[in-house]
Amino acid sequence: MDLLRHVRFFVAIAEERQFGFAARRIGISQPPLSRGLQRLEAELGVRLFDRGPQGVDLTEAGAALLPHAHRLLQAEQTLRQAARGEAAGRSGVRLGVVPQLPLAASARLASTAAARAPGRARGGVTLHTASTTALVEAVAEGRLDVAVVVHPAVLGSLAAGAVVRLPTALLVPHPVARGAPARLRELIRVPLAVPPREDNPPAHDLLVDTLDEHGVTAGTTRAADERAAVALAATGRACVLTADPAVGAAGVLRVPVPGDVLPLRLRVVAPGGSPGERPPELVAALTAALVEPAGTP
Amino acid sequence: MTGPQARIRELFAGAGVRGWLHAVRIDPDGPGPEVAVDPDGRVVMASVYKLPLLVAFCRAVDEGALDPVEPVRLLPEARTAGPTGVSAMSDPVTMSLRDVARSMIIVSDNAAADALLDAVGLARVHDVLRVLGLHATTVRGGTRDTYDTLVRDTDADTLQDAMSRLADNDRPADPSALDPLLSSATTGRDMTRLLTAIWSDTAASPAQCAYMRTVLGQQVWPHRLAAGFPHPAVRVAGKTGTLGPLRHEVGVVQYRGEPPVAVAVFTRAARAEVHLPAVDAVIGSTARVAVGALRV
Repeated sequence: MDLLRHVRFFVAIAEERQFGFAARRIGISQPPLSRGLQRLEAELGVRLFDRGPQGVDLTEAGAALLPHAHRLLQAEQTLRQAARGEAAGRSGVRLGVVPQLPLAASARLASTAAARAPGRARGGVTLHTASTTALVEAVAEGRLDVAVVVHPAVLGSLAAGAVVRLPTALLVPHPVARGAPARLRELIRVPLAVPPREDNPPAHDLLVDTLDEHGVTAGTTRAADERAAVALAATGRACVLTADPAVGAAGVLRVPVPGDVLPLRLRVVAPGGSPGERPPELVAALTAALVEPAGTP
Repeated sequence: MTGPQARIRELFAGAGVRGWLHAVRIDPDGPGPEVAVDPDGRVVMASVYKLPLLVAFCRAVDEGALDPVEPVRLLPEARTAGPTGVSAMSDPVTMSLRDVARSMIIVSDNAAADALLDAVGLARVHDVLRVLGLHATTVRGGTRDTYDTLVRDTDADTLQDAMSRLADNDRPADPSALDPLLSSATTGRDMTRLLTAIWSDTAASPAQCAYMRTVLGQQVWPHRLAAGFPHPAVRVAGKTGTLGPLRHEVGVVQYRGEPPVAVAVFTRAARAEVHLPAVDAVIGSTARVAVGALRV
C-alpha cells in the first residue's frame, strides 16, 4: 500500500473529525477515504477511530499513533524540501519580490543575489513577483530561496532581516496649495488606491490605521497593482502611494508624504530554523542592497 | 464549505497573526473529541503562567502548607509593575492569600502574582506540571523575572522603555523573553489538559477546584475568548496572557445544558502596536469555530 497517502488520510480525519471535511481537504470523495482508512487500520492492526453519528473520535491507539503519523509527514516534507534545494542548486537563486518594490531596487537585489550565491553564479537569478502572503508561503514550502516582502507580515518560522523603510510619495490628481507644507488629510482628498487586503492583512490594516491617525477620511479603494492605481489617479478617481521614483503620470502631482509616515517597510525572508539552511549572510546582503546607495539622485 | 481547522487558519491569517489552538470537550468520562491547529507548538506563556501557579497554590492549601485566609501585606516599593489590580495602586495593601490569587486571575494583577509565587515557591509549580503530566510546559519564574529579562535584552533603562521598543513596527525586537526555548512556555494541548483537570476535580481537592472555577469565571476581560460567545446561554471562564506581540487566552466555554469545552488560543501578531483589537477578537472567533464543531 501507499503508506504515506494513507497516513495523510489518518491525519486529515483526526484533524477534521468528519469524513466529509477530511475528504474535501484531501480532494477525494468520501467512499475511497473511508476504504483507505479501513486498509490502514488493517495494515497497522489497530482501530484508529470510533465511528459515531456526530463524526469520528480517535481511539486510544489512534491518539497514541497520531504523533508518529505527524512525524512521518514532516519527514516527507523535509525530504521534498531538500530535493527542491538540490534542484535549485542547478537553476540559480530563486528570488521573490513584492510588486511595490521599486524597479531600481529589484535590479540591485538581483545582481547582489547572483554575486553572493557561491557556486550558483552560472545559474543566475530567477525573479518572481507576487504578494507578500504568496511569497511567504513559497519560501516556507521551498519554492523560493529568498524573498522581499512587505512588513509587517505573518512569517511563521521563517528567518528575517532588519526592516528597511523606503520613503514614499503620493500621486494626487488634484491641485495642491503651494507654499506651506500640506497635511496628509489635505493631500488625500479622493480614496487612496491600495493593494487587496489579502495580499498582506497586517500591513494593509496598519496603513488604514495610520491614515485614520492622521485624519484622512477619504478612505481607500482596491487596485490590483501600481498600473491600475496610476490609471485611477490619471482619471481623477484615486491617490496613489508609491516608493518608486519612476512611477507617475501626466496631469498627476507627485508630493512626498509629509513626515514620511507611510513608508514602504520591506523585509528579506528566507527559510529558517533547521540547520544546514542558507546562511543568513544572503539575507543581510539583500537587506543592504534594498537601501538606496548613497549619492544616487 | 471547509472544516473547522481550515476556517480557523483563515481567521488567524486574516487577523495578521500566527496562531495556535487546541479545544477539547470535557465529557463525563474524560477528554472527548478535539479541534486542533498546531496544538503541540510551544508558545511563550506570558500571564497564562498564572494558571499553573493558581493550581500550585490550591494544592499547597490542600496539603495544609498555606493558609488561604492568612493576610499578606503588599508594599508599593516591593510590588511588580503592571496596569491592573494592586500593581496599579499607590499605597500599601493587605489582603488574604486567596484574594491575592483571585486578583492575579481576575485582572491579571502582576504584583499579586509575584507575591503569590513568593508564598507558593517555584518548586510547587514544577510539581503541578509533573504530577498533571504537562511535559511540554516550562515555568521559569514570575512576571518580575520576565520584565527583568525584557529590560536587559532590549538595552532599555526602564520597563516602559522596553515595552515601547517592543511596539515599534520599524525595529521588530526579538528578546529572549519572547523565545519559547528561553522563557516560560507551554502548548495548547498542555493548557487544555490543565483546564480539564480543574473542571473534573482532579487538579486539586474538589473544594479547591470549585474555588478555581469560580475565580476563573470572575475574570473581567470581555475582548478575547468571551467576545466569541456573546449571549447569555453560554458561560466563559479563562485566563489571558499578553506580552509584546503575544495575545493569548485559555479557558472553558460552557453552553447551558451541554458539556464544557476547554480551549487554548495563542497568537503572535505581525504588527507591533500595543492595541490590536482585531487580534483580541480573533481569539474569540476561532474559539467559537472550534467549540461549535465540538457541541453535542
